[in-house]
Amino acid sequence: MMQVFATFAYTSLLEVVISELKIQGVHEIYAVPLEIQHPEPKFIDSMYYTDGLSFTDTGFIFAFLFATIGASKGFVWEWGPIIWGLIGGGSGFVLGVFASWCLYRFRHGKGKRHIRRGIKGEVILIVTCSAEQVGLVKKLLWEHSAIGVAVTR
Amino acid sequence: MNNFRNPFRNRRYKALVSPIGTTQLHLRKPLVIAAWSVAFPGFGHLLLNKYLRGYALIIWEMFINQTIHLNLAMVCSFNGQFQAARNLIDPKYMAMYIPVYFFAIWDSYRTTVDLNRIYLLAQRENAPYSTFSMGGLEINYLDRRKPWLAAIWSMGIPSVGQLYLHRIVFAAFVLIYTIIIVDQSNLLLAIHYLILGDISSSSAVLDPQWLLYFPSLYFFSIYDSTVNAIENNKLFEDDLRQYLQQYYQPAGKFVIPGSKVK
Repeated sequence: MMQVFATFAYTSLLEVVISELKIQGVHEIYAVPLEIQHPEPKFIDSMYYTDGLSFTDTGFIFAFLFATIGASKGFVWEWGPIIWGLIGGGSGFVLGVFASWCLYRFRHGKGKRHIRRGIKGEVILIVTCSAEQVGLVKKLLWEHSAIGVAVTR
Repeated sequence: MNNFRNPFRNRRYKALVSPIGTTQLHLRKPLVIAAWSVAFPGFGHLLLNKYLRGYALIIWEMFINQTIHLNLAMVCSFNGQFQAARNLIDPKYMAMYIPVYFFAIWDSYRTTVDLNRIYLLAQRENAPYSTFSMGGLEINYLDRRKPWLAAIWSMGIPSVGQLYLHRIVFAAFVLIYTIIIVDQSNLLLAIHYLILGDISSSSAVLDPQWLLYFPSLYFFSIYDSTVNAIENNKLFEDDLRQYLQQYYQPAGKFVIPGSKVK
């Protein structure tokens, strides 16, 4: 008996490859979906660090605020409402993101770094099969966007 | 079509994948939602997936804003022309504006606090919900969407980011709303003049009363599609995780400690 280990992201291809393996007669499939490092959502403050979302919350609010004022002032100022609206929107967004970033650093101190989202294993798939099937299993796993594959005996 | 069956009725569900859109509970910051209601009454409710309330408030706000020339008065006020602002506002309807405006802010804040509580209970109850839905007119399913792509589409024109996330009724409303504003404000014409380098003509064709609806709508649409893409992905991952745990972790199976084959 051989065991094939593979890591996957959370994608619908994962379900496709599992069904494909079953069609090919490989039935011993074990999946370990990993918890990804988001801190447990708190009740009032729902910061999701991995999304970087909490930074843009304030950014977009400042953007609409400054864009509205910029567009209004633009009816009098030289460059016109569109350019001042865009300047307002852009600077508001940057200001908002910067402000919440400062607040974040102030609250959480320096040095604490959170893992950023990127290509990484989110599900571990363990397929047990005979030595003859290993080649096929590996091929199928790679074809369905496995991030990493290893075979053990 | 609901593809979930349960012998016992559940108290709460955290999501619904229906042919016309994915409705979902997730944690939101009450102050952020309230701030969007400040931008435009109804936006906060749209973020909460309370669409009918949102539409009612948006239509009402536009009607009253057009009646009392509020946007125009804002332009004058920001530019220090206070007497002009005074003359523009129609006192007959002005008092009608204020209570509903504050109601929208307060109500979206209150609802967010309530829905956060309900989300927590729904998450703990972990009731099965529909994750796939097919009707005579549409198909909807959970899958991963790219938040940055949703944002880029929304930057192109508000509403297509929402369409990417399969929120059809919302997208249709925002699209119609965008078309009316762009048409009445002459925004695209002004951009055309701006590209040609004719700043004075560009400013002259713009209608300030209509243009001022645009910034809040534009940034709202980007924000909404980004947030919902992220939350949609969390829902998808959660669903897949539970499925794998249920069907692909049979009891009595274990990993054989072996050495890696090259």
